[in-house]
Amino acid sequence: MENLNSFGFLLPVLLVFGVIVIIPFLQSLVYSLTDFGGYDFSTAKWVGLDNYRQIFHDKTLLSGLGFTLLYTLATTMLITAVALPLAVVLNRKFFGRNFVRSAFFFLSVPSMVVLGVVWKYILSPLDSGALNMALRAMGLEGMPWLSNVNLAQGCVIFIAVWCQVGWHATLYLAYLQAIPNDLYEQAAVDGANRRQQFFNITLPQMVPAMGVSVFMLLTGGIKVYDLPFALTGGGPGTATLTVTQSIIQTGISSGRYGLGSALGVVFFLCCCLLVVLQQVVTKAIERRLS
Amino acid sequence: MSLHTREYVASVIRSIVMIFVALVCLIPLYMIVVNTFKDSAGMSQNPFGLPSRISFDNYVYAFENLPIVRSTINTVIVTGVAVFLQVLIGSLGAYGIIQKNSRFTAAIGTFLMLSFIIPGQALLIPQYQMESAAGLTDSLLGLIVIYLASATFCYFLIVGYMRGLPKELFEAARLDGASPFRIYWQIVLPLCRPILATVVVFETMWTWNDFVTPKIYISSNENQTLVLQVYNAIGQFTTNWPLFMTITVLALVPVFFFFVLCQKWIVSGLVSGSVKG
Amino acid sequence: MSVGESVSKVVGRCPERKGKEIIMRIGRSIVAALSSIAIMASMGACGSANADEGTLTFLGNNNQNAYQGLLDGFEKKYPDVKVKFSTVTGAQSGYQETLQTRISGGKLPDVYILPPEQLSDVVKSNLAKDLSDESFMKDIGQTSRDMYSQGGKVYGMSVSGWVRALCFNKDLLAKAGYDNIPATWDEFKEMCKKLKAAGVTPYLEASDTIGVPIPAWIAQASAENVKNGKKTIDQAIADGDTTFEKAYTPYYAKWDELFKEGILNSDVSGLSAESVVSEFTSGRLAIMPSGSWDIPTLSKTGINFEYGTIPMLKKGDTPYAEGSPDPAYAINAKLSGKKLENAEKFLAYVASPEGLKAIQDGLGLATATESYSAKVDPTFQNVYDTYIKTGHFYMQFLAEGAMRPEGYTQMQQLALGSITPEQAGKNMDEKYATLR
Repeated sequence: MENLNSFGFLLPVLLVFGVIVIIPFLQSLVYSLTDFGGYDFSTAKWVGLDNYRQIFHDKTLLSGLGFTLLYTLATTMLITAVALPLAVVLNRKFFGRNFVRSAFFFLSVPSMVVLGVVWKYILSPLDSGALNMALRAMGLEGMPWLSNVNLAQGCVIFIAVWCQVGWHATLYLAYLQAIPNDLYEQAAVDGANRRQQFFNITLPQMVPAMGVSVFMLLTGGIKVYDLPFALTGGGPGTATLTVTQSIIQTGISSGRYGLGSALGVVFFLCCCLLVVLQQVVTKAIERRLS
Repeated sequence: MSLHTREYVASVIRSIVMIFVALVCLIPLYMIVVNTFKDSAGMSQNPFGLPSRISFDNYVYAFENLPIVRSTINTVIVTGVAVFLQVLIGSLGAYGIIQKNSRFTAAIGTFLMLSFIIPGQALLIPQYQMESAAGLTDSLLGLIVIYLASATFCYFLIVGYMRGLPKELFEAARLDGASPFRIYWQIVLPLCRPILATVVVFETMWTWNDFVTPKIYISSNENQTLVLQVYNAIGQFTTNWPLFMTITVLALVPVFFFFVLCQKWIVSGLVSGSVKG
Repeated sequence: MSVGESVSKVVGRCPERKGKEIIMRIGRSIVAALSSIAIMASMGACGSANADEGTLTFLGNNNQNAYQGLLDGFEKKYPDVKVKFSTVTGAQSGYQETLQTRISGGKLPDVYILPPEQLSDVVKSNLAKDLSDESFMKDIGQTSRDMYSQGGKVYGMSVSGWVRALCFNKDLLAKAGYDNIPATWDEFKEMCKKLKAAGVTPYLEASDTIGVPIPAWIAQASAENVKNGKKTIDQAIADGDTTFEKAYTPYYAKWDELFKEGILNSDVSGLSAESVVSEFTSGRLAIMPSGSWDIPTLSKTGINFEYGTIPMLKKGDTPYAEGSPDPAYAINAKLSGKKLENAEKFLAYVASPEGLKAIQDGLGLATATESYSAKVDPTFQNVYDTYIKTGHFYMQFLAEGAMRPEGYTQMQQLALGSITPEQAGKNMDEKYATLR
């Protein structure tokens, strides 16, 4: 009876998810076994696992995997490390708080296409680039920001942190507001300072929020496309090439939708692995803390 | 120094530091806005500085040549309906999950998490075929249906928060004879206000700004959304960046006001909505 | 968080009745979505072009403003036909993605722009009408016809073309004693060195089109081959007679000299096209690769500029450049009767002098058909005459163009100095093997 009851509440979300996501995904699973070009399925031929075999022969694709993983791990760690303290500060009272909250949040709003152009001007490797001009004004050397493998990777990660940190801080803020105030009052009476309060009260209370935020960062990170594409187009060389960019280039630009679908499926399996790992770790942390 | 003064000094320092950091972070957004007052040549010659002569040509062009009002109305409809349904469906699902801690609900929870892992690119063509077969392409309803997929995202954000709510409250209401739906509507949802607010804002921003979906689905002028107008700035080889940025800014102004308006309401929300503990 | 707290409060205050109504609304949209599952089995439903007969749907790849003149002119000439125009973007991949998706859903418009990358798939799926014998095709140049031919039939009508040549700042070139781009590569490099000595940045390329002269040289060598009764280089690669490593490496190495001799540095591997144009319009850069599309912006900046040709490797080599006929106008193969007539009228109008003029004015494209000579911006005249009029332009098209981005990736690495020209060739071969 109770199962049935909760199922009633779950029905809409299951229906929506099933119809809009799962069925199309199963369809693309079928496509991945054919040479469907993305135009007319009736002319497509069954090719079995050929598409999957081909994926593992493509060198650029594998190098895309490397940067995607680096990006995912780096952004997840950096954003969590910055967003949590930021949320704590944004939860305190100070003049201009609303402005600062809005400012950080708004960074994630404009489309990557336009942000990419702006950042390309700022990070131009030439002496006339904004950042290089600022550096030289301070008597420092200009840097080849987007024209160096490591710097370009760093820049992409930095910008990802810049535009997402406010978003995740906002998420943490929602959870911070659910922490009962008397916990802090009690701690203050016991003589705990701000730092102790943060580590002993805030952080443990934030574990569920971190679970949510980290999960989203991981899954969002591994699927990243717009930012590196808008900023570097995957370059220099294949330094900032992502797996999704490969999927799109293969599946759409060269009319091999079947192959693109196969990539999508392989990618999905990789993500599953990552998420299971993350869930296990979060559960373990939660258990230890509670 | 008394505790009070120390608090005060700390808050002033906090103000200065945070406002400074926020301003530095806003520099790229400043660049977007400042370039809307230039033409392509002006932006190319001096992408960072203030324009030599403030020109509203881009804005005038946009209002005179593009269906800004019509597409704003479309965007409001799509965003309003879609976000409302997403949050409703998502929160209903979350409530369904937390009602009981069984294998069954755990399995469904895991199943729903798949939505974060499935790459959207793999869904593009099948989703379009589906909408085409249902006659929903090139319609606002069609867009809304696609956006409903985000309900799983809402579900995910909300369920974590709901789990933290005091269970005793539900129990008490149940013993009073309230139906599950009534508990959901009158007790759980109000308690979830902070996360619902977050989710509504996230989803509004995201839906409002999305241009991948309308690009594929909308083909007639009367159904265009606001963000689609940026394509009027793109040519075959070059993009008119100042116009592109102008349309971006025009598209952001309504959400900006939405955001500021909400900020104002919050204060009262905090005072009245003390459900903590 | 607080921002939308009040919003949710509003939501929370909705009376229960309203809640039910909402749920019913969800129900309705879900039903709509569900009904499609049944039809799912027949994936790739056929397109139907059965809307009312007086309209013509047209999907363009440029903005409305650019097409307005053409559409207005057409509707004035044929008042009984109403063009329902829609567009996606000029950015090719965005347009391709949209066209592909719409085709897969059976929503192909009556007339559409067909990018060369999609020609073979579209023809294979029987979506483009054979235009070979249409009267309006008679003035379309051979280069354009070849580009849109498959199995001896022409499926698209391309009335314009683009080339990427070199745009130069006349004042800066004068500093080093030049008034145009020299004809050969060695002279070009010498000029760059002189410019550099004079304190001017001589030349820059953007990372997304890096290696600008290479296609020009390949095209020239291919033309030479054809003259001697041999295959073009790309054809030979496609047929397995040769490899990128053998055929392309010498040209990669020639381009690499720019780095070896200090004319370019690794900066270009991550330089955006916007930054390059910005350097040029600020008067800091002497030469940049560009086409007619930059003319409107450049003429507003007051820079004293002109377009020159790509330097070739040997003296006396016929000049070639990278370029291509523009995406073509194609007719939905499923049209018939009145609709087809309207579509044909539309293409005929596009190919008429009036239509061509409207395209050139609105879209800024360099139109080129045999009967119509475009009035070209004087700064571009030389380039127009050298390449577009003669058809001496080429674009690499192996694996439906999918090898081109790979080429840029390799040239970026060459610019970084992380690989040699031989390795670049080898990497191209490896990629090609995965794509054929």
